[in-house]
Amino acid sequence: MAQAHLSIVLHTHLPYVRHPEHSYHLEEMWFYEAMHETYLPILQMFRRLEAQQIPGKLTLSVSAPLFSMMQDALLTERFVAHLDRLIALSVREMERTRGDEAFSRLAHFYHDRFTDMKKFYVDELGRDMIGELRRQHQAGRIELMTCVGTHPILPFLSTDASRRAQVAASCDLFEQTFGFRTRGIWLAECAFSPGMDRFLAEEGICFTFSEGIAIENADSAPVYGNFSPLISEHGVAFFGRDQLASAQVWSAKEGYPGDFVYREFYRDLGFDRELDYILPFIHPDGIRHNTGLKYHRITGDVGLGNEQPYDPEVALGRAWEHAAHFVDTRARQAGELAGFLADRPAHITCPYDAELFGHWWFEGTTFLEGLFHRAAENEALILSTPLDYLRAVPVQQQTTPATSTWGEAGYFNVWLDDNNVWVYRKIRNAEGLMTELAAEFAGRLAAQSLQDRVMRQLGRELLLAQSSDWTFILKTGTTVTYALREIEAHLDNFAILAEQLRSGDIHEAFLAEIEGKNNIFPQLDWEVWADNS
Amino acid sequence: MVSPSDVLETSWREQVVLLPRDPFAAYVYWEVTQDAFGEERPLIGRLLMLPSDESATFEREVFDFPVESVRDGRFVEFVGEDIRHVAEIGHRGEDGEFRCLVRSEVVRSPRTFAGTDPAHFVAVQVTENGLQVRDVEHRVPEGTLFAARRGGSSVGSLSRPRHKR
Repeated sequence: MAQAHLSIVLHTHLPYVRHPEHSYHLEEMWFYEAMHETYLPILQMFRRLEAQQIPGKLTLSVSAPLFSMMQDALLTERFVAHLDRLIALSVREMERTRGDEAFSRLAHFYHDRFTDMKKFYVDELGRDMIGELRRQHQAGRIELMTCVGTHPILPFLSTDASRRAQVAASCDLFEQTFGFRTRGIWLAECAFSPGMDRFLAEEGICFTFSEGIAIENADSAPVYGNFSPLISEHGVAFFGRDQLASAQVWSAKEGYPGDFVYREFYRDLGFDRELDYILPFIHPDGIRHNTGLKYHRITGDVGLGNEQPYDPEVALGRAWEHAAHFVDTRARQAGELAGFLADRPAHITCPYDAELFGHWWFEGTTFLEGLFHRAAENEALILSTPLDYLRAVPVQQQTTPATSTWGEAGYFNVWLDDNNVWVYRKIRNAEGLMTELAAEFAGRLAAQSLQDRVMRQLGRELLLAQSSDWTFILKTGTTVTYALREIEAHLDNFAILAEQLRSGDIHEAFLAEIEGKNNIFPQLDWEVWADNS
Repeated sequence: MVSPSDVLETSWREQVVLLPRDPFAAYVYWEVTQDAFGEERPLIGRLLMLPSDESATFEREVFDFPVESVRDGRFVEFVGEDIRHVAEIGHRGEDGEFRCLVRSEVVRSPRTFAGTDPAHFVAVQVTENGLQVRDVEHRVPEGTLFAARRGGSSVGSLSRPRHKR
């Protein structure tokens, strides 16, 4: 008999980065890299599992910015061009490395991989990621769900109207895109404070995820610990992250991804080769960036430049070993828990950022595939989703989870720091203004009138500015200039449009320009901001 | 350089906001009008702790800080975990009384321990419109791993009031 439900949860998200005004934009690389290193390999994995009749199953959260980018004509066209560049680079590399057995083998490895990726994306999927995700959901392999809006820290929004707008925007767009209503939602950074569950319940959300301390420090001590969900006051199930499973995968030092045979992320051909050689494959202005061709393994504490050549065969074999270790550890954990959770199987919640698998940890998608194979053989574990568990074990404890995030120390330290605190004044003041404008114009504007379009665009700009990606970047100090530019650009657009709306002097050309650029949430219901109850 | 969004920072009104960071600190920011500086007495910000019992009126000042510009902010320390706090900006009169100009929303500092609410159970049903929830009697078997924690932590005096269902 199964002693525990094992829930693998992947959260996929990228900020909405789309720059039609530039023919080549560095930050758009985030999307292209994640596509060919993480999202497509995961979908390929599910096709293989399907063909082998291995019962792989996971819960996959896809944020609205991400699934919008996945179906954006401009970005998908550019992604195919990106794959073509990678294939061309790998061809050149096969020539350059001829005579060097280790590197030549790697050049061929990448050529095969990129060619295969393009074939899968263009020929097999017809560039339709959404269709494939929907198909896997309907087949019961992926419990597809979304994330709150543009990934804001929900407790830091200033009004209930703003919180409601963020949650509703992504739930509505998810339904318009996938054809069904999401049952679960990912709280950006698992950020929760009491009362936030009301906005989830209003959208028919059944479950979400939280850091373990949200459960452990709940209003009532959790009698089943972190191994059965808590039902919040407004009727949403909160599944707490399992710390053991988390550390095994997350920790770069002690976790699997730090194994010395795995591929080194920070050595990349885009930085290693002379500029003349690499120029056709990087930014046309000569700005170097990662290409995805990485020839070295972590090796050890040797410093960049002294690593040994990467051996995919050895590394992928190690990923299968680690997958077996992970599953066997969970099975032992299940056995131990069975003695304590007398009246129910444990639910072991294992949530991760999806981009860890394949992008940061190159062998991570192979690890996942190995995990599903191993789990299929293990009678102590049942691969599960939160909905499966709630149906199997309907009696649950009801109480309010505690304020928390899954960030550093379990609270808001990352997103409320000397480097980013200034953001909140501007954003929260914009929220207040949006609420006032929505209350003033709700029910008064004809659909698609100029004013109606302005209100919708105001909503889009505000939602985009609220993304926690920007404050995260300001804290961590990477691509700060870009984050600053994005925050300022969205808030500038917001302020200009608000002023034009108030004065009655709306500049349609300006409106049309930013509608074309920041085109997420095409059917956004701006009147949601009028309801601040 | 002035950007259009700077209008979102103009101090056309008084406001003070308290954002909890962790169980130990919060960020407080404020905006006040230039008129508020017209008073002879200096502007002061202060952090107050409030009683757990929301009907009680007792408030205690735990920290004050100077307010020297129309908009600014700083981190302040909470007096403890799971305690209701509020921030105010105003003047202290000659009589020593604080005259409040603007007050933040009340926030509760996060906590690192479980509350004292008794365990309560529900049966859930997954529906198209979310979870349907109804109260049920449920006896937790003896020996359950965390059953001993029922009743919560020993720091009851700082805990929030029991949730009234």
